Amino acid sequence: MSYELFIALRYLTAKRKQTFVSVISLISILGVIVGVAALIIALALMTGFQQDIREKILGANAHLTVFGAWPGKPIQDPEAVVRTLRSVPGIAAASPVVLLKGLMVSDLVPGGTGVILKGIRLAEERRVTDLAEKVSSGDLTALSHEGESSLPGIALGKDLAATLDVAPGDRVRVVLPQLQMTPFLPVPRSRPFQVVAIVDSGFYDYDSTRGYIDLREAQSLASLEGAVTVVEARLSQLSRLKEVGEEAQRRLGKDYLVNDLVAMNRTFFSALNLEKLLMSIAVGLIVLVAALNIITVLILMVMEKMRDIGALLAMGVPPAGISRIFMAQGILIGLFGTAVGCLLGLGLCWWLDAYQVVKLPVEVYYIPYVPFKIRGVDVMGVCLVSLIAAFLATLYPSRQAGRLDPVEALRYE
Amino acid sequence: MNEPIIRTQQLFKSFPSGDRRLQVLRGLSLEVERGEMVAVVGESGAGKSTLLHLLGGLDRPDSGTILLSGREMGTLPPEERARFRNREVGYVFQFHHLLPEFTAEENVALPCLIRREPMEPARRKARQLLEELGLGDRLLHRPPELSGGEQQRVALARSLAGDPSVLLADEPTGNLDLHTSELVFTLIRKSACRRGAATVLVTHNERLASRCDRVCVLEEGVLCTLSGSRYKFGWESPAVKL
Repeated sequence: MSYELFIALRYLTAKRKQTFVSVISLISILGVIVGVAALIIALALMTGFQQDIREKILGANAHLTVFGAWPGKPIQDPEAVVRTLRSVPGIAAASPVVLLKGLMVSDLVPGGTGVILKGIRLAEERRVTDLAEKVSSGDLTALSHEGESSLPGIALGKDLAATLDVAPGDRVRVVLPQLQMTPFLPVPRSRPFQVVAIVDSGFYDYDSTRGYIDLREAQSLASLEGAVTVVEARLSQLSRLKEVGEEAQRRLGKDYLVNDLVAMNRTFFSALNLEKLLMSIAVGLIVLVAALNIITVLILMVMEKMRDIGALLAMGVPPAGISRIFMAQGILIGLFGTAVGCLLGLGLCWWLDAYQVVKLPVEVYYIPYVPFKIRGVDVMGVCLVSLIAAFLATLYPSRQAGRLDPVEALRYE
Repeated sequence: MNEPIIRTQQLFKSFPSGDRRLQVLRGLSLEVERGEMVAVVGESGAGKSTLLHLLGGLDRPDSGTILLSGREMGTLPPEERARFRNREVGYVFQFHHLLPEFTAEENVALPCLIRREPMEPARRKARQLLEELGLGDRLLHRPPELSGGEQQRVALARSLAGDPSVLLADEPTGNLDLHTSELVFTLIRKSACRRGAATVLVTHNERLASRCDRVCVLEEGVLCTLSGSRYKFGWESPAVKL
């Protein structure tokens, strides 16, 4: 052990003559502990939220969506697009989809509400999204065959079903903003459906607006005659999203437009990242305060140890050695505080997550409790920031200690 | 004749005092041989401690040269001067200046640790020195747990730990009673003699000074060696310049 570390450790651990310095030392260590723990918890909280939202977005959506190059123009040969997509390495499944906007009314809510109807082939949709796993009541397989009342089936998002006050077995009517000529006058296209399932994706935007019907019903309702509005695809590895998307675009050519999930939700993901960054900065201020405490402690310690410094200089410690002793003290405070803070933060995150301590009202939020997810890179980043702050805090006091005049130090009372 | 270990020539040193400068040393010269013990006496404020600080390289003279073991202290950069001090100079202060958080053994081991010797050999050497000075049963005591005489003996052991060729003692018995002063002085004398260190002892104690090889009075910024009668009867009468 070097003499610098030997002396620094003893100065930190020995019982002090001046209790004030001990208290300030303790406060500075506590500051680092609290700062590091708070940062780890805040980042875990943000990561938990982000991951949860991300998983829900990824689960509820296809990874790639192919549009016709002309806005509003349907894809006339969806099977060819599906075949092409399936030939792209990295694409696990592809499925044609019809997306329609309309109005949905029920017996109890005749005023209705705006909806987005998604026409799907259930068997293929299962491989592209996790819709089938999100059914909270009813039977999704009933989409593809007619219900008891000879009406086609429809699955509704849970919030949409709540708005229309319907449950599986009830009837709803879909009205499209497209006119249909009758012998008397043009009327909007509409069709009754029987609710066969309720879907709880956990994503309010979807659960409050989406209805799912069979692809052929959707094509028939919108008179698309075999055409679809989009083709969706799922990747085997999401990490290759960008390159697979580019390859799909290259193979499909200029007549189609391939969009990936991240690009379509870029603003949302950016907002989440910005939120995480701002929160880190806000909580990181605690670490800054802790660093200022370290500066105070070291300045007080230099003053308290003035005569020791004189004696050490007389023994042949070079000025840089004196600086290193006080620098080591600051770094030891930083190291100890960071290690304990890290363990405390990790422990609290585990406890908060495992026991679901922070409950949320499910009606307001889409999750029942606040999730805490720890990322190794976040923990390493927090530790690094804390140690750098502690190190920087040592620079001024240790430099001042190294500049002390030995004669003055020996005479110090 | 032995080659002097300490050789200073024409040392001048002044300090700021208000808007003037207080001239403390005015062309001081001193030579101390290996194994020789020189007592420096003089009034308070005469510059005795300043002389010791200059000799050990803790301070720099305004002009003049200080040669320690043949090396010019004034030309050494701070880091090199510190290294040189660690290897060649041992200090004993009036107020011992032991580090209160460390045991007697650790205090004595510090000069060896500073020169990057491993901990165990440094502790071993410290134990030997403390036993030599009669403190074998005080190894693990911290300075506040020791008597004044014991503290000063620990400080002496610390000053000898680095096997210095120069021992500088600044009123080492100034805070001790008569009996303890005698003991500490005898130990300094014996230890320095055994190691052949050139010793400069600043003291107000006439009796102890008279037992040194040479007594010099620091008066008006220069050192004067006392002649036989003055050596015997004290240094209140005018001094003879070197």
